Amino acid sequence: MEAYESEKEQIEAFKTWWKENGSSVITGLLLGLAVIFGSRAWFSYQDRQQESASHLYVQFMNGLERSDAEQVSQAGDALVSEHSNSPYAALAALGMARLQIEQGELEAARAQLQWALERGKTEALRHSARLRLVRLLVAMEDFSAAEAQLAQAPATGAYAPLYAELRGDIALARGDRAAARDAYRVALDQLDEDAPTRPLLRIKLDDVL
Amino acid sequence: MPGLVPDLRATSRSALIAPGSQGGQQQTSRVINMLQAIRDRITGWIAWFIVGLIALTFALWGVDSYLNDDTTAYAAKVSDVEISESALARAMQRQRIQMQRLLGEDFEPGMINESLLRTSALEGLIQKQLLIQMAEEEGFVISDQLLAARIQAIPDVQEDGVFSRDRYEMLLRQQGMSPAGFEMDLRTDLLVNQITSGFNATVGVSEAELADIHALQTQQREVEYLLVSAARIAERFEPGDEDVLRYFEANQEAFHAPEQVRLEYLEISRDEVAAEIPVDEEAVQAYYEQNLSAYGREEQRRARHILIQVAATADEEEVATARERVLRARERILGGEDFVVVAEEMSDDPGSASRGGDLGLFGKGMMVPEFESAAFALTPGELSEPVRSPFGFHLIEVTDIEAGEVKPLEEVRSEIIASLRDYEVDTLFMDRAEILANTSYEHPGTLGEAASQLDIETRESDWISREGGEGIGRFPDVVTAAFGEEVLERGNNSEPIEVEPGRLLVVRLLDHKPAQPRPLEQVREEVVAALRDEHARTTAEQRGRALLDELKGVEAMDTLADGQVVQYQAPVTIQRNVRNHPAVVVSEVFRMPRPAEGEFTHSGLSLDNGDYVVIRLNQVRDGDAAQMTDAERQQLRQGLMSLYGAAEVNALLRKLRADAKVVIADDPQR
Repeated sequence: MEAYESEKEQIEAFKTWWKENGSSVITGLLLGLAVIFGSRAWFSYQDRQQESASHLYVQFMNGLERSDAEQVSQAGDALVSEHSNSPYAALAALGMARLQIEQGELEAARAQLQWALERGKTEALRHSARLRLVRLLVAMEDFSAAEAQLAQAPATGAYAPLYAELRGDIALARGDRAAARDAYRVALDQLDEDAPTRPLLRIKLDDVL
Repeated sequence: MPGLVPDLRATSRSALIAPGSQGGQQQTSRVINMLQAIRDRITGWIAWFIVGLIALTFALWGVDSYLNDDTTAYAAKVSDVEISESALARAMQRQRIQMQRLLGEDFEPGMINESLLRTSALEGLIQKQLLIQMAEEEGFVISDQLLAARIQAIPDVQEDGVFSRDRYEMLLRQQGMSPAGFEMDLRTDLLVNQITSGFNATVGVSEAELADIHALQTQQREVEYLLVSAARIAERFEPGDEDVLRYFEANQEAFHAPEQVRLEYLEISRDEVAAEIPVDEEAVQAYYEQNLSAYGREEQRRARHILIQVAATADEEEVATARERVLRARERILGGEDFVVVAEEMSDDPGSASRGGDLGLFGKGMMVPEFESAAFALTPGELSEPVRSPFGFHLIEVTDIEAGEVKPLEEVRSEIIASLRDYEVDTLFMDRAEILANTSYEHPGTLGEAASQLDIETRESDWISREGGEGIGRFPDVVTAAFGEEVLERGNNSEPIEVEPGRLLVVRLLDHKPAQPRPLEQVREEVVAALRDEHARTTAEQRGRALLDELKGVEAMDTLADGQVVQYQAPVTIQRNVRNHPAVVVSEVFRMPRPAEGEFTHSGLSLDNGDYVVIRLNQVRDGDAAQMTDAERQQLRQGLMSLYGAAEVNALLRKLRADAKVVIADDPQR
């Protein structure tokens, strides 16, 4: 009897508690579920976005391989305008710049590289954009713009030797062999023993000794 | 879920690693026990609520994270992602095969330094992992569709040009892989490739750059030089007895007999283990029959035909007319007319009529079924009855039969046996390797215990010096172990040494000969040769330096040569890649400062053989981009693209490596 009473009491107590708190429990549960499913939907939307950027990128690269300017600019523009947050956008800008350089449209290429440098999401791709932009500026003989770009580049770290080599290239293009020699020496010192550019850099240095 | 699919083949390759493939199962049963315990205690709604919560977490996050806890030893950790020993073993095996291919016939098993191989393979895997992690962080992704498209495009998994799931799964099974594992690998490969090709394929190279690099690369330099020949100097030099004695006494150690050891060792090998496993003849036979198509070519037939066209939907009248025509054609041939003539006249098959009806060779599955069954039932020279196919009526004559060839069982027997017992052998070999490793470690003072447990004999090597020797002396790892602290100084057993895949040795010292002095009489010739060499080198260098000074005031270089010790090379034009001059001379030539117009610059250097070269640089001519052909321009552009791309990837990897936490586990063999 005692047990029955207490069980009855328990149910009563639960009922009163539920009257007071039931709605907030349900609201809380619903809110929690909304957060869970909302975030899942958000993530899956993001996944889909990434996937569609990836697909565009595959088309882009196929076009680039065949130097198909139309396909390249179609897929490339779509990546840059609709997926500017994706790393594929920066790669597309770099790739479009390549085609433009090969077709002699240096100013257009400069703008693409500039975009990749300023708006590119991935740090590594921004480094690549800067390296390529400086090389392009040297080819366009706009040495002060090239130097201005290099002034913002780090003097230490993994990319430093590549930037140092470019400093040498600029100095040489300006006719300052001694400065070129110094810059190439710095680059060679900082470069890994098995770095791919070592042989060419060695040749450049030897030529200004 | 690669962790759930242990790659047995690869794990067992590396003989010393405890197999971790049980991990998943143990985890599963642990989870089940836990659930059981909870169920036993469920008494009220609170417990059900908890169960519900747990169920919700499983539903949302899956059971993977609980089961994926793989306890296999790891070779390295890259920001908490483990690279397993088995993955490393596979990568090493790939590199070995690559080296073998590269070297071809020059390849010898002992050439591979296993620990160097390990380091480089591991570094490759770490770099790959770094790129994968970067890809995931930055939002690179390979969708399921893209992955599927790539797999379906692999020619090996296609049948008649169409993807075949059965073939795909069979091929993977043969290689001991699961589709999930393979797809995971392929996905990461594609991901990494997206990044690297992204760098490589997007580099633009301008005309101005091409011209600059071309100018450098194809630069020509005109030089003349004097060569002071060390050999000629040596010929003319006869050291006196006193000199010989003095030199011998001053450099005695150089003429000692080298330190040598003889080793006692135990060896187990996969091949020997394989030979002990009995062959199940029935299984071999069954395997052979199941895979018959892989061992041969099917029968092919050559036939000619006459087609009387009639559509499959034709009415009776049309069919009757056609039948009449085909019977007439048949009668003409049976009446003695040439098949060729009749075919040319009557056949409606535009492709074959002009060739006398010839259809060439075909195998089964290439023709419509009605035609095929008739053609494969005929004997050569026999003319068929009219055969109705969707095209109409055919008269068929088989002109030639190329019998199918199937390699006899005997020829492929060893191949079959090997694939049948691959797994068994691996397991047995692994067991033995473990016994060898443990026993020789627990009884460091003798090999006897391990030998008797493994029931094998100890063997003895020849004399081995630090430079190596015959037999097992040709394996660098054995030499290192033999002269290492553990074996030479402490007299203990070595660690197990994997001299080549599937071959494991433990060595201990049997005999030791320290370096020994030898009397002058025995080494006199060596001493004289060494003296000559030293004399020739110093003399050549002195002479060369003197010439270099003299040269600066001399216009005609050849007047300084004597044709004997000092030889003159008249002006030659040199490019960077020439091979008819010593490589050090060429690279020195291209390091010399450019001379002003009408002047020279000079330089001198010693060669490896002791010769001294005095170089005069007359002129430097840069390469002219205007003279490049389109092909050359394209080639240089490609070269620079991949160079710049590689440089960027290299820098990226350096940066990732510096920023990430990379832990390399100790080599389990050490």
